[in-house]
Amino acid sequence: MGKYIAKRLGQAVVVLLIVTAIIFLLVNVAGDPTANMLPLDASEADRQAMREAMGLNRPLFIQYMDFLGKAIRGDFGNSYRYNLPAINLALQRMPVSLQLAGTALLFAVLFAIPLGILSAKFANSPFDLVVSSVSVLGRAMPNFWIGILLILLFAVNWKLFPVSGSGTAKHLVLPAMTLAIQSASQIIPLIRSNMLDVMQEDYIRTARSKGVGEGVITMVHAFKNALVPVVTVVALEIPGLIGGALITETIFAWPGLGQFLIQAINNRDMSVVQVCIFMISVITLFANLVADLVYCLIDPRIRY
Amino acid sequence: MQKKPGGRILRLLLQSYTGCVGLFIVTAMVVFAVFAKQIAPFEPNAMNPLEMLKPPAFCEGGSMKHLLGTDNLGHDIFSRIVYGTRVSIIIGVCSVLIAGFIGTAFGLVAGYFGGFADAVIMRVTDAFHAIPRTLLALVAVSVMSSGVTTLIIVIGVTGWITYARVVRSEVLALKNREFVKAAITVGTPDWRIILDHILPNVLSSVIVVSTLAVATSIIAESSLSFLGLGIQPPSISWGGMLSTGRSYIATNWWVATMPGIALTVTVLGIMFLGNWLRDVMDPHHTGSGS
Amino acid sequence: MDKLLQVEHLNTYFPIHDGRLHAVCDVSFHVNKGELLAIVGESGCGKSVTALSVIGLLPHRCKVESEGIFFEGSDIGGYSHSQMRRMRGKEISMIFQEPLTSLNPLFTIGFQLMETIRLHDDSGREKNREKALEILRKVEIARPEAILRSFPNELSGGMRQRVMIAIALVNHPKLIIADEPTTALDVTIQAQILALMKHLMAEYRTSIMFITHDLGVVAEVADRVLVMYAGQVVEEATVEELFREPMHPYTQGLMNSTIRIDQEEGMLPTIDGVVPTLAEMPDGCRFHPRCPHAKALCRSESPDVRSLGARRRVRCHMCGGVAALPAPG
Repeated sequence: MGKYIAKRLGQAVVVLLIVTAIIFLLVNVAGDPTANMLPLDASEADRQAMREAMGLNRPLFIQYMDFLGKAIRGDFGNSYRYNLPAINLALQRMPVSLQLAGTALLFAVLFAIPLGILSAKFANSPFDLVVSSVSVLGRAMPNFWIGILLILLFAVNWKLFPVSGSGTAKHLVLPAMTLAIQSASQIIPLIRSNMLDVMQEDYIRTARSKGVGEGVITMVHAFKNALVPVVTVVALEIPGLIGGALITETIFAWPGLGQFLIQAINNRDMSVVQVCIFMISVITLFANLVADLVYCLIDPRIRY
Repeated sequence: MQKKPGGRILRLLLQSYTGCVGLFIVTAMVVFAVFAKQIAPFEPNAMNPLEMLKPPAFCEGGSMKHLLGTDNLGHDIFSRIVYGTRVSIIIGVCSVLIAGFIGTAFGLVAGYFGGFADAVIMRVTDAFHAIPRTLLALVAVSVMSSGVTTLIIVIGVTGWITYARVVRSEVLALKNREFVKAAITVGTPDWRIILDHILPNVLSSVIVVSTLAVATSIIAESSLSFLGLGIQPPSISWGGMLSTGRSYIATNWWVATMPGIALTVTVLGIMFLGNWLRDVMDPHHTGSGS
Repeated sequence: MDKLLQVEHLNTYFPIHDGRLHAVCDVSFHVNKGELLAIVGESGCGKSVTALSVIGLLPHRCKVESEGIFFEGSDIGGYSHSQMRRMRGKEISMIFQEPLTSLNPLFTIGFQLMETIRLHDDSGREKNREKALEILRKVEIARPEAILRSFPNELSGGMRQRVMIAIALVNHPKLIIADEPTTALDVTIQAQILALMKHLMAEYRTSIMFITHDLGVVAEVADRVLVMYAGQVVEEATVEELFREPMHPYTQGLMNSTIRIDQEEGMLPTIDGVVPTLAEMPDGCRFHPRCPHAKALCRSESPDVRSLGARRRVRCHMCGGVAALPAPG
């Protein structure tokens, strides 16, 4: 087990190195870092001087090592807009985003598990049909559109929740629901089909032969088995959740990492962009690692 | 005994209700995109200050002149939706071609050669998976010049990992099949084995992944355009229309809702067609189909 | 002898759009107290469905009809779901073919064993554990404490089947239905498990309904035998009678295709053809397409079960006469 964790951590470090390479190349090769630092009418000579000053005329690999060396120390440079270390700015916004993403994931799981189980239990009933249709719809709608619909219904029409902003629990509901609907739409059909498969297994028949009631069979014997693949998918959903959070935070003016990042992208504040991507990757990798560990805690057949 | 495969596929399609709906929607979309000029009643960018924010025909105050109403500049929403299909189709299809090519190539190499190449490719896929696709595309678009070509490249390049993973796992399974082992034993060069024996056998999976990837690419494009970093005016994108409509959500609901519905219906249609294709091409698949 | 279980005219079928598919057709039999009744037949002949009909474990879409399934005199065929649930694991329990898939992989042996105790005879955590340990010792499992904590994947096939037997036996049921309990095991393990079952059966005075396709196993353990073919009982006899004088051509065929120690060299005779599917039952006698003695009558008319003496029944137009025919092979 310890060996497995060590191996996975090693892999995660390699992956993070590749991530830094991607974000470095994105900013320094695909784009021109000086583009926004000089007035639009700056001459080519001025730009050249700027590049020289920033060390951009050195070989790319040297520049990358330089970037990497600083990044390891948590130094991604200053935000040129706020003139503060980018990493501090990003870390400030992080808790607000985690609050939103965490609530959303909780909502998603709380919705998806009972709905998935019930639609398997009553497979092909009108209830199942409704749940399946709604989850297909949820997968077909981009999350900004779900967000707008929720605003239209719950904020504009029924005035149950505020349109946007933050501060109270009520402000959290609509953005969290937006993200939760999207994730739940992925998880529900998975739980449903897993439950349907598991209920055909021999050990379910064994449980029945022991006189175990249907409720306990569904909730204990079958559900634990159906949950195993769900853990992986929930972990795989996390980048999607964070990606969705970027847009959701923008729509609902939720002052988290996502909103901050979108602003930074619009301002071409590349230090902030780089540090945000880096942090999001760390969170994703960590979540995947946790999912793997949970996986082997649930399933004794898996021993690494 | 030998029936035409086309006939068989058509018969299977007719058995699937959702498959039919999917095919219908996708066909309609293509017709809209090709004949946009003939179908749209107005120039999509024709402003009309006298007819701003008109509700759709089926609502109070609406008229048949503007079927789905007008936006804040008096653009006819129906016409804009019709023209918007062009962007969605072009970006959806072209970016998937790029993603499919890159991903399939990487998947073939990783699965067939294994070892170091496999390890490197898998770590790169992990890295791409660790960065949300929308985010990567956003940053890429923001540092490059905006435009349809950039969007196609960016959405394509950020979408290859699904292909790489699916193709790799199929190749790993194929490598243990007798015909591949036989080819290796008689000393067929690697590239011949990959092209002649492996590629044809992974193609059906690639096609299935591609259909669904068109749907996600369309969503990605609309997300970028919604955030103002994708398609720029005067080009028309449903994402951009939704972004405009968002400002009027409290007073004029249709401005955002109509392109939203168009987007949902399109994505649904492609998903239905894709799920049906998956069922036809992979009879062993035990999915959530009911 | 007292009858523990008596099944009268059992019919089990799957309703389909234009009628019914009968998996079990007019099957009657009984199990005496302390007796091991073997039900023999090729796969697809309805023996498992018969067993599952008795214990009420068929999928919901299957329908069971009978003129009574009497267990100790009361008709459990008419029991409600919850009444049946209270019977299962307590009065009637079951052992399945695949010990690998029949235990839940995500729960410890202890949980799965003690759950059965808790459901029917709960006497507190400690007492339940005692009982679990005791039954594990009875099925000859070494280090029962460690086994309670282990997961099914950590045990060998034979051990798992011992655990299954422990689960089935723990509440001292009056009837155990064993559905091919040794088929998936190695031959040596198979012999151990059979010996164990015989031994525990005597100790707990349990009756067993033993389903198998293997006449070798039948000869070893059974008291009485029911031969089934295509959803029907074709022959019933005590094990001695059956092996001394198999009457139904199908039984004869089965016996001829079993390896014997005195087997002469050459090909092992087999019964030509396969068990007909539910949808394509032949007219007349269901065995006639494969029967070496089939006559015109067999093709047109279905034979009834005829009693030949107190403990012997056979379903064949040539009953009695068949045995006189030269045995094939």
